[in-house]
Amino acid sequence: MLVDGGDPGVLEAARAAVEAELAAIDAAASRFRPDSELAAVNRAAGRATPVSDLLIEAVEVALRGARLTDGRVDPTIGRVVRLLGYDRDFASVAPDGPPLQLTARSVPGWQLVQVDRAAGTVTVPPGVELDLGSSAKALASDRAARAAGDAAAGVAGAPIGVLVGLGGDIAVRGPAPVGGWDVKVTDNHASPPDGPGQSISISSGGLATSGTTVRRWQRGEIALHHIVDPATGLPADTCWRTVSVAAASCVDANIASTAAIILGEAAPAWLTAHALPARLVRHDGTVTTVNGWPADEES
Amino acid sequence: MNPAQRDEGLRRVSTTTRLVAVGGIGLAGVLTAYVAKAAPGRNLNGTSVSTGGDQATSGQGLPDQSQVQPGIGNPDDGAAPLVPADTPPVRGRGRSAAVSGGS
Repeated sequence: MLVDGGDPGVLEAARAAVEAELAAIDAAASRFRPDSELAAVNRAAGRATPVSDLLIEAVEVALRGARLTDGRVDPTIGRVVRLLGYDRDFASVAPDGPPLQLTARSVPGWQLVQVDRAAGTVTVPPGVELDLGSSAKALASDRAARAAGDAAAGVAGAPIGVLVGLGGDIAVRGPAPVGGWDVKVTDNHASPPDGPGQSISISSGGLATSGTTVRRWQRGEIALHHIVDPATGLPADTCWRTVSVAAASCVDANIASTAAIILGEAAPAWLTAHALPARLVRHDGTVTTVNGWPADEES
Repeated sequence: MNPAQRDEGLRRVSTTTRLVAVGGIGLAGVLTAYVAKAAPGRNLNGTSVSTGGDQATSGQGLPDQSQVQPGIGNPDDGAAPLVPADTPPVRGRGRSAAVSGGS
């Protein structure tokens, strides 16, 4: 988290707000916590599960992403991802393991998810598991930035600019520093800010990067990654190793960057149609930019 | 009633029955389409779902997509569109303090 200006009290208020948001989203939407609300939904075997407004929002965000991408981003990949071996926090996933027999088959489909906002319930059919993964992380970034900005402004008595970055998903709130927020766009969110990649500046909204090079694991001779194509139920076979998108919110940027990975060669046209600035990197490092995203300096 | 009159009456009843049946099917289709469009993402069909075993291959045990009611309206229906940022990103000054990368 970055805060533009303010005293230590402002920073502390913003930090506390971010931590509260992260704790809340983890308790609601974590696939790896047996006590999360999402785990209860996935275990409910078709029964309506009472959940918090936060999980309702997270599921609705995921369903919106599915609608807008014609199902290329789909929260019903949960069971497939688990069977592929990504069944716990990634730091605990064994990098190697015995071979898996993989069968291409589409995932159940987001249309099966029932959200009853009035009753405060979410229902998925037996055998269907939700993975809110990337969309929940992006939602957490947006919510945390909003909460941090509000908390900081409450202490400072004036609007304060904040940037929240969660695993590569960035949301900004409030007035940006002069020249904007400088962000390094690269393959791995754990890279240092002075590492390889492109330096860009954003002033509002969100920025998300999806890629296939970081969360990877091996089962037998097959290399797997975490971005599953709902049409096949298998890790996306894509021409892009990394796609970064800027949008009015981190959620929108994340929906588009994830969809672009799965869309493959069709991604630039799809992003252009949605007027979303983006940077797409092929496996050989070739960079394509669309909708006003600045070209790399070296290109 | 002679046989010819009886046969004519039966034909009329049969035709009427077929028309009612076709009309009913058509009405059901219209209502189904209306409901599907009015509540996208909330429809369930009557598919039986195999929970399968975890030793299954990645796709086994999942509901058969062919049994899922497809095409519930336009995928964009009812969803706010993706929104670009107020200002697009510009080239940075090389003093990045944050990183956006794959995770």
